[in-house]
Amino acid sequence: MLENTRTLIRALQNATLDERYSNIEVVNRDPSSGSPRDGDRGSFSVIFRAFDSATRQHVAIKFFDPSQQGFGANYRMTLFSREVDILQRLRGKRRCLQLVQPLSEMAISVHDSQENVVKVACGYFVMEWLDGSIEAYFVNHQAYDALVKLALFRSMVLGVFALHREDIAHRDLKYDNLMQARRQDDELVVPIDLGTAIDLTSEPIGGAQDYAQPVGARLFAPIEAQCGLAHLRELSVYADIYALGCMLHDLFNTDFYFVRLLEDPGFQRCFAACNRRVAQLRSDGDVDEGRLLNHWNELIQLTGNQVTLPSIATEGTSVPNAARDQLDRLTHRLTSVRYLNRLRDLNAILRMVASASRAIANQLADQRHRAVRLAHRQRREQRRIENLARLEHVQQEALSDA
Amino acid sequence: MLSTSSNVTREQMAVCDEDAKVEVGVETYATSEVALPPVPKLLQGERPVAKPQSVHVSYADESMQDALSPELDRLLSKRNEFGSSPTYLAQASSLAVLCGRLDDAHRLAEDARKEAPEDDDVAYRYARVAFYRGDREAAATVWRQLADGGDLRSSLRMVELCVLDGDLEQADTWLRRAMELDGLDWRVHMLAGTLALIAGRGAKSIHHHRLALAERPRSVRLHYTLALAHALTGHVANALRAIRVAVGLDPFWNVTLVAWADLCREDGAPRGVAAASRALARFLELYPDDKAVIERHARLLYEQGNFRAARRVLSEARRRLQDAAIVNNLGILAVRSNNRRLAVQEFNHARQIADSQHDHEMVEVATANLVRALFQSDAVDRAAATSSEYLSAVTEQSLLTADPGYHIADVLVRSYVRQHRLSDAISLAQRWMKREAHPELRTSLAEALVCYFSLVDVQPEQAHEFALVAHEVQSSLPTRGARWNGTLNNLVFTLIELERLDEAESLAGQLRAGPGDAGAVVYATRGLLAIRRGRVEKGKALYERGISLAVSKDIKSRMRQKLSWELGTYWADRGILGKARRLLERASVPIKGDDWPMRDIQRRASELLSQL
Repeated sequence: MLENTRTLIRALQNATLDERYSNIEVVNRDPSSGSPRDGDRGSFSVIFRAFDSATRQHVAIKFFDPSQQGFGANYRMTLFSREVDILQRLRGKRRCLQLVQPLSEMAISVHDSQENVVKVACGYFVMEWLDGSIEAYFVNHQAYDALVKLALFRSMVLGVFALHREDIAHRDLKYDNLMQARRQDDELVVPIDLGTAIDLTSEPIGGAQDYAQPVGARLFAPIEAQCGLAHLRELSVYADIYALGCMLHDLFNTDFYFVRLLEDPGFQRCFAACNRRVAQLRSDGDVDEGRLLNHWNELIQLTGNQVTLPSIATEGTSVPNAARDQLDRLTHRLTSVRYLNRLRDLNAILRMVASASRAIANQLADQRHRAVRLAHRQRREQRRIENLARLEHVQQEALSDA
Repeated sequence: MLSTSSNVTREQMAVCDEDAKVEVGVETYATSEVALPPVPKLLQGERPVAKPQSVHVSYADESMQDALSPELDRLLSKRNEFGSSPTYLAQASSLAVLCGRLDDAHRLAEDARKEAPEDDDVAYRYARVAFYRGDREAAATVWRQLADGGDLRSSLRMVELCVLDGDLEQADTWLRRAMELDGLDWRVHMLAGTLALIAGRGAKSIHHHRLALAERPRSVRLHYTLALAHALTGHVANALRAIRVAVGLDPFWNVTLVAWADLCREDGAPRGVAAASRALARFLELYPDDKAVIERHARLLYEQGNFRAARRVLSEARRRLQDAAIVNNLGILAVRSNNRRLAVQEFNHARQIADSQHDHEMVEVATANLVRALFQSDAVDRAAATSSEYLSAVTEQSLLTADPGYHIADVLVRSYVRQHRLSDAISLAQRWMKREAHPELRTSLAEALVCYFSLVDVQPEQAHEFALVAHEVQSSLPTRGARWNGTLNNLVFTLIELERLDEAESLAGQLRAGPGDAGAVVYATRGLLAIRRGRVEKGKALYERGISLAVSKDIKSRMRQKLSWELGTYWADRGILGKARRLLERASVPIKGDDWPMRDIQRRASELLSQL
């Protein structure tokens, strides 16, 4: 099944593409079998890392998987070319992933179903290579300072809002899809993998039936996306905001936000009811976006009250006491089950982050100040004891002299 | 006149009264539930019984597990990079639990513990995975150690474990310790409330629930258990208030809806019943196969008198579910619409379904309804045969003591009477009267014997003796309803027949007369007393009032015939033969409908007529 993928990998490994890209190695597939790595089952592209001799930088080359066939292949190909269009629009935006080479084609020889050798054109495009993973901040959150993590979160928010400013919603945000990048001496966070991103100004390219299954990472997807409404354009920006809220929580906690949300029986029941209703609407053939949205709003209004969102500050958290309430409020504003209640105002989010950072900084300063005062007091006490001892010694000497 | 209408017990819709489940854990990822008596029984004063419970671990559903498994695999693929981080291992372990991969979760939790042996959070998580895997002993060891060191979560877990083991005393000790650690924590009060509820201490439970709700006002679980606590203390209005909040927060939780429907039924306020009915209908739009809610919805509609809507709900459910209770309830609706043939069909069908599903309880309910429907549609032979067959197949004692089984015994005796197999009926009734039968059955049997000794084999002393038994049984019950009035009426009647008129008069003052057959016969009894006292006109007027108030044509005819007999004998004793003859002629003529209770009077009237 993955014969074509293997052929593509074999054709590129250790070869030079366009007389420009060398040292090519596949990154998201197993080189020998062509199967996706790391349980990346939803991948429809083959990504290579290469060295660009023109810019003397590493680049990422993304190929449309030649093994993709059947009814969904055309649709996936349209998504693939949409990703290129989106990247074209983001050229020159410093918080966005930069395109190096637009959609191009490369021919490879593959076997068709009758075992004839045929030439197949494989579409690909080239992007800058970013490898500043932020994963460690999440899976090892206790090793990092709270202020550093808040600075990172601020950067993540700015990166995501940079897309939103261009009317683009990512829809698959997770910490794997956010990379640290150095731009003019600034350390920024840049969203990558725009395969499921959507240009909010363009016409829809597929029917709702193409999205019957939830899209994006389940651990960072809001309830409406979990219930199969990820395709509704009006919800896509809110889905990104929800993911940011989840990641803020995960920066300070061991358990994923979604794992903790599922512990709430209120959420479990709300989720079950919503899931069922959406499935009912689909089975009734009611897939009109406006009507689906109305039904959703009614339903979530009815069932959402019982959900108790997880607190950012429970047992095992690394949130400093000083910022607990602020960060709790921010997480809840970003992850509300009612999408319209999610905080979309960039300035408001940044203000809340800044306020939490200040509170932590003040707490740290206070702790330092206390430590200094304590050390000072201890030194003074020590001196007093030494003086007393010296005085005693002098008195004893005087007495003995006398 | 003898009261026989109260003998006819009204059919009740079959509703599965499942136990009320209350959660005893704090994290509901895996639910530890304890069963309490259902709401109607709590209201009747039944107390919970603490017993060891099993843990019900409810992970994410299969589709969620499938969706999350790749996320876990992706996380596990980073093990080389982050494998020494206890946070990473604990995170992966939690995700593995959610994916239902408990062995992976256990291994990861164990590794995390090795990396950070001093970390309490990691130890707590390790114990939690052990608990999910069913290893309560390992979990208890770690949690006990942590709780001794002052960890609140672990103390609460110890409470949970003790409740699951049925050791409420030890649970209380751990709870007190948790209270000392943090007396303001809502989880402590939630568990304290639940524990008090399980121990049957309603007021204490309410107190703790209110404290917990101050911090968690949106918790449906808290509002629900608060409602159960109110039900335990017998305050239906307060319970209703709490359950309404719970349903408002979550209109799609069948547990709260069922409790609301039961409480509304108990309360009986029409507005509340209508609101509950609407909520149940909305729930059924989303979950049309929920049997407990279907049954409650149909019952509420039925009791509101909205038979058509009830039938619609049940017919819709019957299309989806092969369920004996639903078919049985359709039979009851057929009885209400006087379509007894259809009712018999439905009850028979319900019996077959229940039998094929080995649901013995439902077989008994359907059989009780079937024999009652057969009896009331004059298919007395079939009623007798069916009830006799059923009685021979089950343990008689269990049938005599439980509802609805005793109805079958009741119908059998009354069918024998109607078939004129009086000796069979009397021997059965006398045999069962000596045993610890259900009070309602004892009353029925005693009343049947009163009828027999008053109307068939007239022995006033014997009749009075059984009337006394029936009335004593009814007087011993906590509530006095129409049946108590009926037995008192029969007692007065037998006293009149024994010519103990002073005693009869003193008891007659307690009788409640009114519209309907049961109330109308009281007028007849008072009329009879007046005639025996010689106040003929007053007696006649009372009889006339009773006849006008009676609903059943049979009862009206019997009253008229009895009045004719009484007046006929009265005038005959005074030598006014023309008047007496006219009245006795009326008393001797067989009346339309079911006239077996009047046959003795008809016979005696004929004899007297021939002597005059």
